[in-house]
Amino acid sequence: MKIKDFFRSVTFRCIVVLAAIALLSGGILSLLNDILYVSDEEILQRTLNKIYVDEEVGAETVSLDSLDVENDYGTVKNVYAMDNGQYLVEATGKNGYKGGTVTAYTAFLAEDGALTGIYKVVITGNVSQSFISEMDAEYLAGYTTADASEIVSGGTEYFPTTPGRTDYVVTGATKVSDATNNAVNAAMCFLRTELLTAGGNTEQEA
Amino acid sequence: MKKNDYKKIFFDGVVANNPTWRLVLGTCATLALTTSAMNGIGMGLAVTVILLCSNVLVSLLRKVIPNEVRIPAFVLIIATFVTVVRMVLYAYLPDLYDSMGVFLPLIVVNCIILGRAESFASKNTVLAAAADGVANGIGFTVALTIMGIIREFLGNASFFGIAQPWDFKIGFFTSSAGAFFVYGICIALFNFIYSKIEISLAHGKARARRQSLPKSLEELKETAQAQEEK
Repeated sequence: MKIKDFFRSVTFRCIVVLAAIALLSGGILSLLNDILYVSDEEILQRTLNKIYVDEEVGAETVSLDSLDVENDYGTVKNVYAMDNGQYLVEATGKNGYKGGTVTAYTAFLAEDGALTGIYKVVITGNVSQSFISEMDAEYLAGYTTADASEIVSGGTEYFPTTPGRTDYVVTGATKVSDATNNAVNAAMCFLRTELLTAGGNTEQEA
Repeated sequence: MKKNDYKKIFFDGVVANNPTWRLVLGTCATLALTTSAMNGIGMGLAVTVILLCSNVLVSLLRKVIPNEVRIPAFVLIIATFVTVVRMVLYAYLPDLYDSMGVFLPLIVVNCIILGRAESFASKNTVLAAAADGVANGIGFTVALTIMGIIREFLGNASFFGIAQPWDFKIGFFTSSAGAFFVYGICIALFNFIYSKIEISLAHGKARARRQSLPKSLEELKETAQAQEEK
């Protein structure tokens, strides 16, 4: 086939049409991406609205620069010191279904530099957790019970993960429960070992 | 295109070829997102908007897109609109965006949208394609909303998120098995009612045809005589 024939062929027309549609789509999407961009502040505000319903609570970002955000349970992404004395931690828990993760915000109650319980847990994301809907409000409310407060205030215990546990688990979604528990545990471990210890960096950024 | 043709397009999309209850298309999203009425409406409206936009664009480009690459081209167009709808929902309706989860991007491969682009929009005018998109979208939205109302009412004892005074819940209806059960019952009921309507319409037409025909030989003679006199 000569070059001239190629430019007149259906193949060339197909390539041009597909490329034109792809280019046009890309252009429109990148334009709309800028117009409809949701800032980090807006995302944080949405999460705060879910946690503190009908309450206006201010948050200050805690610097994680010199702290170890990785632990056995997962990774801490963001920490906020709330006006009401609580700590809000965004953490990703590992060892979920198919090795995936669950990301959750956990609001911890604290008194005199020690954790006393959990105010609320809100799941904001996951990777490969097809049964994430099983972690419903009823399950997440389990973290705010008196039994859970004992674990949190104990100082050494963590929410159990498989094998051989009977509480803090949803039957049929055990691995997702693991990752969810790990998200809370990762946040709790970070506060206990990094932030609320004597050497911890408690300086806050506005 | 005549006014009656648009009426037919609407009747086909909403009733005669209802994508959910007659053609059993988009089943994945139907089963997963009918746990509440609001989810059903949200998904239905998202699909309606995407159907309308993709049908219009496919119809506009029907003479430009070569036959050999029509499916990839349709998928590109649909994917673009799905991404736009995702962005809009994430920016302005984050709760609905969260509740729709993975099923929102999966609209790209929803057979209703690809099916209408392939079988209707690529062969008809822009206006007809738009009407078809809206009609099918309405059909899909109505089906999902009704299923959502049933499942939410029986499974969560609430109606559009408003809790009922009684606390009688049947958890089965919020499960996957409950979704299949409600879907099956809805399909059976819809098709039963539709077949009854179809039969009565057919009887009505036959009766009208019979009445318009001359009844007896004498009547035939009278008619012929009248024509001769004229």
